[in-house]
Amino acid sequence: MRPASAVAEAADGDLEPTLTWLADDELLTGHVLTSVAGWGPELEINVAMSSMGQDEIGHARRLYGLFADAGQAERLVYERPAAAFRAGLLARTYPREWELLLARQYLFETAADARAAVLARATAAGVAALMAEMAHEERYHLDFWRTWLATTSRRSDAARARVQRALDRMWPLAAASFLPERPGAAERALGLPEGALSRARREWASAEREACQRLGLSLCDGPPEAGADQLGAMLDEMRDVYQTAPGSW
Amino acid sequence: MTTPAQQHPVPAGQVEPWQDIPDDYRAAATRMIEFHMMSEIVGPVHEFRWVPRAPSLQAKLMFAAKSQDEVGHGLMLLRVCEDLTGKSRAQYLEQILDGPPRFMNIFHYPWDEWVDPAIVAWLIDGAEIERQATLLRSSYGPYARAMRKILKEEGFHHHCGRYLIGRMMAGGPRQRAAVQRGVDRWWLRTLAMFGPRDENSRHGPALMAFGLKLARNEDLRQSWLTKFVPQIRAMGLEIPDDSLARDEEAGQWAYTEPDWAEFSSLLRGGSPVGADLQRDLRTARRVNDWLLAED
Amino acid sequence: MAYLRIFEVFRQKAPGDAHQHVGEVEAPDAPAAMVLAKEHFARREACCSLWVVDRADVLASHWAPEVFDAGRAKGYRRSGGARARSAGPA
Repeated sequence: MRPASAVAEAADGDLEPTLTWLADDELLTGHVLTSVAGWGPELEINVAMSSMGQDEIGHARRLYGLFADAGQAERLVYERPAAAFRAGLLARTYPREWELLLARQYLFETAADARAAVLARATAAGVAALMAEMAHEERYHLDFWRTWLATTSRRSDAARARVQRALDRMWPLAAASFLPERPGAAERALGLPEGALSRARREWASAEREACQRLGLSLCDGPPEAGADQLGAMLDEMRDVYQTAPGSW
Repeated sequence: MTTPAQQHPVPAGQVEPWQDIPDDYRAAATRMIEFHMMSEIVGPVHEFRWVPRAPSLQAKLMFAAKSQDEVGHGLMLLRVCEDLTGKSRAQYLEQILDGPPRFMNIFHYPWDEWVDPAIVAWLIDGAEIERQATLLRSSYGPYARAMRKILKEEGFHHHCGRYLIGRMMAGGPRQRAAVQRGVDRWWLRTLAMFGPRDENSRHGPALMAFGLKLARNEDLRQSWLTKFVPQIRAMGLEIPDDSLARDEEAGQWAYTEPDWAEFSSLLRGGSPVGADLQRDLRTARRVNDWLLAED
Repeated sequence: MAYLRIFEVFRQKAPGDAHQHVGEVEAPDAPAAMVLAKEHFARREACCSLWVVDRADVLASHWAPEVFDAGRAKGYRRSGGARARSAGPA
């Protein structure tokens, strides 16, 4: 493993920044879902949220595993400086309120699904195979959040208004999180046709606009809200015990 | 004096909620299963405070899976209670969040260090397995059925606990000292968890007579000691009880008695720690009440 | 009025097996019950298919177990089919 600065300056063709980005997204989402599972709206929902969180942590492990051994992956999670995390803005949010979790996860899963369809064609070693491996779990995640977006929005006008306010906050973060920092470099490293990721983003955005419209909801563009990034708080929590005896757990 | 079994013979075979159930059987079943249910719903609050802080990915996954199972157990037992008493989910939640703190003694103590949930998973889930294995034959059908899934999962929790404690014992002197502190703290609480001997147990004999409960507290405690005393020592830990000894002829362990006055005061009157668990859960539920609350 | 409804959950372990009742979940509607049932009843156990059925749609029999007593000797209603077959043309 190289220090963070070297990762940041990785040359074109280097897969590591892209894999780190994907893995960090999964790790933080796994952290959020397994953590909020104690505090969600109903026991049945909590069971399912925890399951999905465990899937995501497992996916993060497999993604780190494409470029790091188990010990290195552990240090990436528990010791890496916050500045070296590549997760998108959406994955850095840590809400407990159902409408915000719902908006976060719905947008996260639909984006992951749209991206996975592109990544399944990657020629870079291991990526397409891993996407195929994760596809079954992701299919369920997508169904879960789609179902609950519909069920929640149909609850009442007040419930739909809540969901709309949550989407107003989460959509700009999701829109800013779909692509990696340098999409072109990522496409070349993954062995994807130029522009494949940007095209997927456009298609995802328009498909989700329509899907939301059918539920009486809308996705309004706007600047990402300040203070949404809660990575620092998440890492403090995650490392609370670890740091009392680093490297020996 | 007639025993409950003489007053009301144990119903033949297993009892199902749609049958005519004698009032005192229903009352006894309700008391016992509600206690178990509330333990599985309120207790995991302790664990959920630690899930985000698990110090390795392996521990994080184990702990998430374990706490998730506990939520599932709470859910299944809550369903059993709803069908037994006819109360709705909403009515039960009010009782759980705002009602009297009727849950296991172990949740009334603070879990302040990482070692606490790990010790509980190892020793106390191991103790729960002893009890629950007998409940597979409980006379209340829906409870016995729920126990099948619950018991299988508790086995996994016990192995998680043992793994996590093993990791700490291999970690260094500080971690080993923390584990020993944990055993010192949890030893008597674990023995107490089985409840007092039958002659001192208020409800035990009636529950046995109804076939709701299948084994005496003391027999379960003895069986646990036989399994765990060697396990704890093999881990390189000391048991904080000078009078612990096995009488091979009688096949019984002698041990220092837990503080039974403290035990019954926790079970009847609760504790600040227990009240805090209920408060945390209540606060969390209120945030999302709008979603599923009754119209 | 209760917003949550009780859904009975049936799980098929492997193709060829019957769906068997495994318990219940509470949810506002059937699709929500389905995504909840999957993780509660099929995350550790073998499963290839699930059904969820609103409890309100289940009609339970009202007969005492004796009414179902099919094992009881009921010579008076035997059709004699087995004997008729063995006595038939070879």
